[in-house]
Amino acid sequence: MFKRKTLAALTFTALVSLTTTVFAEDASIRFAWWGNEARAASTLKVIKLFEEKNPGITVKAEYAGYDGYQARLSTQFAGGTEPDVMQVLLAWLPMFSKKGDGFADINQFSSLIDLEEFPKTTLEQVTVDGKVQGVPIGSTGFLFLYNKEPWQKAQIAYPKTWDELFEAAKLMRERLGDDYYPLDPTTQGSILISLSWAMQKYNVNFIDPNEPKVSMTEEQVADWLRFFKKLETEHALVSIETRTAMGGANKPTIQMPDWVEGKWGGVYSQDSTITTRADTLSGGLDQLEVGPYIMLPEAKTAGTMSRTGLIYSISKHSKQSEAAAKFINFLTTDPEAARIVGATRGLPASKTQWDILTNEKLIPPIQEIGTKQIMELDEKGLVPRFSLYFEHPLIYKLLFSTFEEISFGKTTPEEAAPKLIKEANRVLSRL
Amino acid sequence: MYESKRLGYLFVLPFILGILAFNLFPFAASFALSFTDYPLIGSPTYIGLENYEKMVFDDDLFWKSMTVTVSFALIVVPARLAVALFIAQVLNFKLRGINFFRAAYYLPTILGGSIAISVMWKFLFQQKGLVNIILDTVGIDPIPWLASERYAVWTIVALNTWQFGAAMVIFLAALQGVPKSLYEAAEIDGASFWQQFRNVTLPIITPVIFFNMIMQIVHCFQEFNAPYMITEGGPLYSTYFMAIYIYEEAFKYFNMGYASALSWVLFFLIVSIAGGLFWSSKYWVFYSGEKERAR
Repeated sequence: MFKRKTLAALTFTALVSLTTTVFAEDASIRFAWWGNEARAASTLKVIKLFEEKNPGITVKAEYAGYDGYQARLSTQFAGGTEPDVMQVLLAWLPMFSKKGDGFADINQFSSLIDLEEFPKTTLEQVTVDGKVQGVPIGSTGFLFLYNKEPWQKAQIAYPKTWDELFEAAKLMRERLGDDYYPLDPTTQGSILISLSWAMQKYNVNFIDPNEPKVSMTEEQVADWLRFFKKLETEHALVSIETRTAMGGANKPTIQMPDWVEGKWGGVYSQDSTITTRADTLSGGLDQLEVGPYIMLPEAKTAGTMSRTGLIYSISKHSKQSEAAAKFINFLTTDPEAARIVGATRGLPASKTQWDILTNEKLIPPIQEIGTKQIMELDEKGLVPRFSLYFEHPLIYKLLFSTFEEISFGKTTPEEAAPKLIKEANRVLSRL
Repeated sequence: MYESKRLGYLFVLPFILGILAFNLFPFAASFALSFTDYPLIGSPTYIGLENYEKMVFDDDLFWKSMTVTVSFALIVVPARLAVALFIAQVLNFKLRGINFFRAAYYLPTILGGSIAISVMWKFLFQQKGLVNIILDTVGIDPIPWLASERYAVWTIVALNTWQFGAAMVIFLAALQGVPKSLYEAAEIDGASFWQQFRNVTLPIITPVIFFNMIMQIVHCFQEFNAPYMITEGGPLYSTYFMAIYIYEEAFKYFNMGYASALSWVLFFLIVSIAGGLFWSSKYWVFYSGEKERAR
C-alpha cells in the first residue's frame, strides 16, 4: 500500500518538474520598485508593452510604497533572492555595493543596454571600482513649491531671500492665524532647508563630497543648527515637535490635514515629485506654484541637493540577466516607454527619452518650470556636489535625532554641534 | 503497523523540517552571528565579544531602549492581567446575553495586532484626535500624546491593555473550573464576595495566572507593531522598544551582527525573568492534588 503511494508521489513530483522545465524556456524576471499610484500605473503599462514587444519574456511586478522597501530588499539580498531588476536609490550604493560587487556589472550587457544614451558624468556617479552598478533613471533636485491659496489670502509674495521668508512667516501668522506656516518640510526637509542656508553662507558641505569625513567646522555646524531652530521658532516651518503631535514627523505632507485644508503654504520638494504634491489638494496642480529659490545675497552656492536619484540595477544572482538588461534598456531608452512613464521618476537621464518628453511637451508645465529652475542653478554653478554618504541611513539617523532633540529643546546647537561632528566622523570612518 | 508508523513520520516531516529550517537554524545562526560584524551584504567577520562590549559600555541607545521595554512590561503585564481577570469575573456571572459580551470583549484581541488598529490608535491620540476632543469638552487642555516623552508610551500601554481578550478567555475558563462547592462552603462560613474571591478563587486559579503572566511577559518584551506604527519609536526614542531597535539595526542600518547580539540579550532577559517566575511559583502557585502527591 505504502509503496503504491510513494510511487504515485514520485510520479507526481516528476511530472511537476517536467512541466517546470518546459516553462523554463521562457524568461521570467522579477522587477521591484517603489512609488506612488501614478508611477505604479504607468510602470505596469510599460511592462505590458514590453511583454508584447518581447514575447517569451514575462515581467513580474513587485511594487510598494517607500516605507520598508529598503528593508525588504536588504533581506532579499542577504538570502540571494533579490529581484532581477530593482529600482535603487543611488545613495544606497555604499551599502549594497561598496566595492562594486553588489550588483551585476552593466558593462557586461553593453550590447543590450545603450550606455551612450547617458551623460558621462551621470554614469560616473553609478560606477564603483570601474563597474557600472546601475542605469541612471533621472536626476532630481530640491526646490520651494507653494500652495498659492494661503499666500494669496494673506497677500504675500513668495520669498526670494531668507529675511523675506521670516517676514512672510510673521505676516502669514498675523493675517491668517497660528496654524498657518509658509513651509512644511518634514524632518528631512528641515535638515535640507537649513543646510541649504548654511551652505550658502559658508560655501561648504556638511560631508566632504570627495572623502568620507565631515567638512564643516564646529562653529559652522552650530550656526546651521541655530538657523534651523530660528526657522522653527519664527514660524517659518512647521516644527518637528508640532508634526510629531499631529501624527508623525516624517508623515508625507499630502497626508496631513493642514496641507489639505490649505493652512501650510509650501513644501521643500524634489522636482520629480511635484505632481504628487497636488494629490490631496482640491484645486489639483493648478493650486501649486514653484517659487524662487531662496538665497542669501551673493551666495556662491544654492545648497540644493540635486543628483541622480534613482537607478535600475540587475541582480548578480539573476539567471535571466540578459532579459533583465533588455528590459532596463526598454524602460530607460524606448520612446514609447517615455511617453507612458512621463516624468513620474523625474526627467529621464537618457537622451532619447529626454528629447521625447521635452519635444512633445509631455511634462506638466509646473514640473518643467521646476526642472528648469534646477537646471539654471546648475548652469550658474550654484548646485553643489553632495557626498553619497550624506544620505546613508546611519548619517540620516544621526541628523534626525540631533534635529529632533533641538526641536524639542533637549539640547542646544552649541552642545549638539561637536557631538554631531564626532559621531558622523565615527560613522563615516566605518563605512 | 511499522508501515503506518513510517507514514506518520512522513506526515510530521514537513513540520519538523519547518521547525529546523525556520526556528532552530536561525536561532543557532543568530547566536553565531552575534560574535561577528555582518553588514548583511557580504560575509560576516568574527569580532569576538565586541558587539556585547559596545552594547554595555558604549551604546546609550541600548540602555534607553532596554529601560523603555522593561518599564513597559512592568506596567502592561499587571495592568492587562488585572483587567482580564476583572472582566472575566464579570463575564462569569450568569446574565442574559452574556455570550454576546464575551465575544465583544474578545474582539479587540482579534483585531489588536493588526496595522489598521495601530493606525486608528494614532488618529485617536493625535493633537486634533478624538481623545483630545473629548478632553476638551470636559475642559481639559489638549495633551500632545504622540509628541511628549512622558505621554507617548502611555498610548502604547493603553492599546496593549485594551487587548486583554486572550488572557480573559483563559481566566474565564479557569473561573468556570472552580468547584461551586467551595463557594457554598465559604458562604456558609459567612465569607463576603471579596473574601471568597481572595481566599477561594485566587488560590485556585494561580496556575492560570502564572501561565498568563509568562505569556504576557514574553509578548510585552517583543512588542513591535504598536510603537512602530503609532509613534515610530519616538519622540526622542521614548517608545524605542528593543524589538524596533533590533529590526532597525538589522534591516535599516545593516548591522546584522549587532542586531543578533541585541536579540540574544533580549532572549536572556526573557528567559531569566521566566526562570525567576518558575522558581518563585513554588511559593505562590497551587496545583490541585499537590498534597496528595506529597503524601
